[in-house]
Amino acid sequence: MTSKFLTEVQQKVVVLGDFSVGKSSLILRVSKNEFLEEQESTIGAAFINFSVNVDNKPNQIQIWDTAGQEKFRSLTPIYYRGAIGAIVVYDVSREYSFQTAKEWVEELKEKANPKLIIALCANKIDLLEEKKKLLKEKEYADENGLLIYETSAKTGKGVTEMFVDFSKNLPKDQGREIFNDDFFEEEFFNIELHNGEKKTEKTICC
Amino acid sequence: MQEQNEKNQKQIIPLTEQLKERKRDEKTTELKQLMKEVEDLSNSYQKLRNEIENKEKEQSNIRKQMNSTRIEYDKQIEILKEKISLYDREITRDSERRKKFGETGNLFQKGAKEFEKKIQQLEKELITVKKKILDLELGKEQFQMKIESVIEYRDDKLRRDWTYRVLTKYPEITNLRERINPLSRAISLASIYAGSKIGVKSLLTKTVVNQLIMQHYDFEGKSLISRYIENSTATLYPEVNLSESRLLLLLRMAIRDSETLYDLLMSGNNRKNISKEQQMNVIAGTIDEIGLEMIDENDLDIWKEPPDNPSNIVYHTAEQEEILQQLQQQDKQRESQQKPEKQRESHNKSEIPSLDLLHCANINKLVEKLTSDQSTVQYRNTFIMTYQSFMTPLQLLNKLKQRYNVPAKKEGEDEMTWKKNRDFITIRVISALKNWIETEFNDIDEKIVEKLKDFIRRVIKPEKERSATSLLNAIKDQREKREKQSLLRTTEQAPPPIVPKNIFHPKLSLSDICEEEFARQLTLLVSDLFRKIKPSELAKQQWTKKKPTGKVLNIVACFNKFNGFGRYIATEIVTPKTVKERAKAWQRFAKMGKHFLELSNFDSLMATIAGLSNNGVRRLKQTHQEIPKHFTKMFNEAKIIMDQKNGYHVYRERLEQARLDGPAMPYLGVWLTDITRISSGSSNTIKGLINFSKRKQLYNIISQIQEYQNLRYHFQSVYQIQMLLKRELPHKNDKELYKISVSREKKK
Repeated sequence: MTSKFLTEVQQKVVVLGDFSVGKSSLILRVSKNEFLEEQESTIGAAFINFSVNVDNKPNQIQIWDTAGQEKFRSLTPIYYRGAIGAIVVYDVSREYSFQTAKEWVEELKEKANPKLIIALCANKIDLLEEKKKLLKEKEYADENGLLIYETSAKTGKGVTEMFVDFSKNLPKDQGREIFNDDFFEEEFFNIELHNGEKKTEKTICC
Repeated sequence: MQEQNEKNQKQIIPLTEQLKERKRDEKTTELKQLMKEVEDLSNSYQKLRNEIENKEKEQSNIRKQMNSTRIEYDKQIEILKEKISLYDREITRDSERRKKFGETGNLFQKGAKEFEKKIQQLEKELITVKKKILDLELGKEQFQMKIESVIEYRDDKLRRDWTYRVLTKYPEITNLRERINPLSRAISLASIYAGSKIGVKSLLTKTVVNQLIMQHYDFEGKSLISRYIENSTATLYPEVNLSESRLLLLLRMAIRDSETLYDLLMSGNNRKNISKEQQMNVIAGTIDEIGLEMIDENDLDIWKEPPDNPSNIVYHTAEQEEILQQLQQQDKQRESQQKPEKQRESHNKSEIPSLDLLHCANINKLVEKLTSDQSTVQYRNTFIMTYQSFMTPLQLLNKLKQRYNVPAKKEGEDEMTWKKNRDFITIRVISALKNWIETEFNDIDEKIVEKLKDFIRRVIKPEKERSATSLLNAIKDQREKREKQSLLRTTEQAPPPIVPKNIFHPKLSLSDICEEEFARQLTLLVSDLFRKIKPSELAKQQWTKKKPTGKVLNIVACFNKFNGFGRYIATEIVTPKTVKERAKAWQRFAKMGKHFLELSNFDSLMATIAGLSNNGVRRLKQTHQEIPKHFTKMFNEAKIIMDQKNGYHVYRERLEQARLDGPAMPYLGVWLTDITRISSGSSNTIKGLINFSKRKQLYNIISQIQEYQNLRYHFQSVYQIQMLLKRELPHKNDKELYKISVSREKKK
């Protein structure tokens, strides 16, 4: 983007999940506070920036969306590489999407940055009956050390709260300045870099 | 004196003597007595001594006895001690045992509890079993009933035996029965799901049936019968094409459709688990697919739709007034050229804004606008490209038919004005049809084409022969084009393919093919797949839905090829056992990536990047150290091009440039993201009206995609390589890849 972002310390957070669980809607809700409004959506934005005050310090988190590309499964390592947080979304009204979410969590745990903070987001709770409680999911989250949130992008319930709370849980020291080209050098081509000077701040996964 | 003395003496002597004697005697007796005493004493001494000796003896005896008893006691004590120690030991053991027993006791208690639980469970089970028994008893009753029915059946059997005999004797009857079977099934199906009773009745009027029969006879060459029917039923027989029997065609179609539905209903044993609603949904989906009509009871005839008002049409206002004015000016200029035709809507013309600002409307209004003088090229294209996201092709055809049938003149209306207006609308409908045929006819079901042809022949032809023939020709052209499309090649000389020497060898493998040719052939294959993607797949966002009929969509085929290729790359790199071989494989695909970039095949380029960034590949540090620097640099550059940042800003620019330079194969994911954003960013309908501005956005993207679909690569297709590529490329899944990768180069 513009030079504005070059000076900021940003933390990359990816939003993953099965198709049509409401990832984009969540992001739309948090960025514009709208859901299915008449307003036209912007085309081409791959991520949005979200600022939160943590301990009176402004904290920029960058939320990356994988909307519409869920079927390109072989691309997913590229998405979550370099992220320090991941939000795995599933749809409470579709049992299958929770299974997919579990697979995501497993993959992230195995292959992504080991310090990655993972959150499980139960979306579309407005479709859930009042009596039902997400016991099974909560148990799963406890077992795997995940944060769990209940949201509804449609009504807006819990969405902003989730992103704020999630960003507070991110490790404060891990974030990096992003430069257009250096970002890639650092992210993907650490082999090259290690031949020359070693960068200490880099955390390499796997 | 002396004498006396003597005398005395003399006297004394005896006396003394006497005395002496006496004394002696006395003494002897005394002695004797003493002797006796001594003797007695010695005797008694002896006795005593003896006694003492006896006593001593006794004593020694006793002592001996004492000693022996002591020894015995000692022995006994020792024995007792041993016993005591034994007892001690036993006591300790006992306490241990007691502890153990305590533990086992606890265990027993637990076990007992479990047993209780089990017993409870068993009791529950018992209850269920009892229930089952009850059920079984019920079943038994039913069974008995069945037996009764079987008895009836046995009676019936005689009759059936007869039918069987007849049928075996006369196979023609069997044949006929089998042929009729689907028809009768269709009838029963229709009676169950009486979906469109009213619709069928209104469509299949007596006249139509008669006409169909007449046409059939004409086709069979029995025109006399047909004339006879015409005379006796007084139905008009229109001149129709005799190249096929419409009746037979319709019947065949009906049977085919009913079979599809029947299969759908009968497939799987879980039919009972599906609710009727779900079943109806599935049927509706199939009906939509095979182009059957579901009559919507709420459907309002297009001519009964009230004039423009906020409840059926909304335009953009306020913030876009400036643009609105500008566009209106442009419109006015255009209108001046077509002034004489508009009559109906002329009274409020000045208030109607341009369709470019149309925000949302209902179906009737949208179709009305499509065929009104407001219609613009932009609007028409948008409508035709995206209508499938809010209505089916059949609905569109019906609406256009409705629109074509302008209602009869009202009383008090000027004859001339009405006629002019009617002419205008019919011409508009025809031009819309033509537009439809020419732009988006690839993914329309055959049957709708038939219906359209029928409409053109029956309704348009008698009035406007020229436009009817031009429409029919357009359809024909489109069809021929569709068939020819795959054969189309330019005159330009394609570069000669680089084939390996063993091209005709049956064991030809993908690793024999050089990178450049591999890239070319894959590009050909992928771009073929890409070209097959239909606008309706995109407009309906079909890749996010699970279709009930399991038809593979073209867009899904694209995904599969993409993912397959990416994993194939990762598999090829990870599998070799030595570091050098792995590095070589890596370089091979990096080179291939370079070729993809040269060919502007961004889809495969992205797949290559995905393959090389696979978790299994990326962690191979030793392999990466073997790779020359310029390769990694090349890879970096490719990554920057396909960077997700700024909404694939770099990529979009590169793609635009590539399109100008020659053929290009775009990466689909970017547009899919755009489409997803559009569809989740705004709703399909606004207050019950179709959100048309959203369709405009969709159209923008679909038209972009279509621009790229028109491009084609000029390479010679090599059959053998194509066959290898078309098959699923050999690959392992991500988990296996990661496992192999770890086994190749261990974790540090």
